[in-house]
Amino acid sequence: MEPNKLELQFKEKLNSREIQPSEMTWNKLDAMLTDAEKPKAKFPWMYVAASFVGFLLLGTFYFNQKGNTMNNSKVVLENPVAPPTTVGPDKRLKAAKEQEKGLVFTVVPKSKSRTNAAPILKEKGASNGSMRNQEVALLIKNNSQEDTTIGTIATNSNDELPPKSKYISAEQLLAQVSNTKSKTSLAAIAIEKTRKGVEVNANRLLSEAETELNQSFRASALDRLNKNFNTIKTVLVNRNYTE
Amino acid sequence: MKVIHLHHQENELIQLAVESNRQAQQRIYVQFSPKMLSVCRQYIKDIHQAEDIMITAFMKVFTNLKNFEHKGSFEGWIRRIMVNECISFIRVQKKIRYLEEENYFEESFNTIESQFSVDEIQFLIDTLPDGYKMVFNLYAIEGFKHQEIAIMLGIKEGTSKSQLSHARKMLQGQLNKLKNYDNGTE
Repeated sequence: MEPNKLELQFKEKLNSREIQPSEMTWNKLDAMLTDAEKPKAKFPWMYVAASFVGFLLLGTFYFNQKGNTMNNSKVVLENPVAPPTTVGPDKRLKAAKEQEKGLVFTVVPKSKSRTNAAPILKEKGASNGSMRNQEVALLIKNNSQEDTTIGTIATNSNDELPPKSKYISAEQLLAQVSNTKSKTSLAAIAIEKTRKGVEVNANRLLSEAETELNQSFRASALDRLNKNFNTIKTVLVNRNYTE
Repeated sequence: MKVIHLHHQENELIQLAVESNRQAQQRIYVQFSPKMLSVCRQYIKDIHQAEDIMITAFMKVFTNLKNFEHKGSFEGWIRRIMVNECISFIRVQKKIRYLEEENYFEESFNTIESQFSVDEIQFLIDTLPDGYKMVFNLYAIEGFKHQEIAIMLGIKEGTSKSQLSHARKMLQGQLNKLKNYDNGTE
């Protein structure tokens, strides 16, 4: 099956033939070449880049959130205000006493309203009255130190005052003072009791605060995400519009 | 010296075309397009289709120009791309069925001394079915071996041989017709 003379003639003549293409062919090729030279995957790459940035943002937000929760837990552990299980009875008493000291000014007017000692003293206009009032205040201030003796004093005190007595003896006054002192101390004890009744769980408070913080952070993160998404969106839209 | 200078010039032109220099690309196109359109026309009957295929093949030439290793001739490299493009076009457009025949006669042309014009040769080739035409062109005009043709067309070597035999037989019949026409017997 070797090529014979005729086939060689065919080959020779066909190989020497030239057909001039139309003028439009180069323009077509030119257009195709310019199309091919344009950066093809510019737009898809933009999408890829945008999605990558989006994932990055989401990741950073997620890890930030995680970091915050961890910090919060650390705060709970390192908090000097320890939960009630760790607090000893002595420390509790001290704290209660300190609170009482802080509430001196609220206790004084109550004692005034309950006991008639101060108004009576003022009505009488006695010069010693003011002095004794001061003494009463001092005694109320120091009542926390004399908690053990309050009970015995209270038993000896006389609640009733003569309504229209012109002369008040020193003993009576002392009795009144001791009475008011016992009353104020009783009121303080009652407050303490109520305070003890309303037990504050430190863990619960901390967890509540934590959840509030988390919620606020989540809301802010979502806001930021929305803002970023909108900016990317507008940039892409503008870009498409310009193209 | 002149050949070396021309070769150097061609290499420079190719390098410029690789760098997407449009003028260099145009020069290559102007230089080779008439010959390449002739190659495409051997396989494709319609000249406009042949032009389109040539453009597509030139696109491939320019996009793959950086892969040209300067081992063979540049024209041969472009020609190979043209032939491949024509074959793939025919294979995609027309579903060709090759008849696999084990028993076929090795046809050869009777010694015809008469000379034919290019148009007559092209006319004779155009009368062949696409399968015969491809194998005949690849074997007789391009000079490929049956093994290579089989790989190119995705057929068996025997199929390629039988296709060539049938093509020759058909061409012989057409040549006899032409001869009789020239002698005035038909």
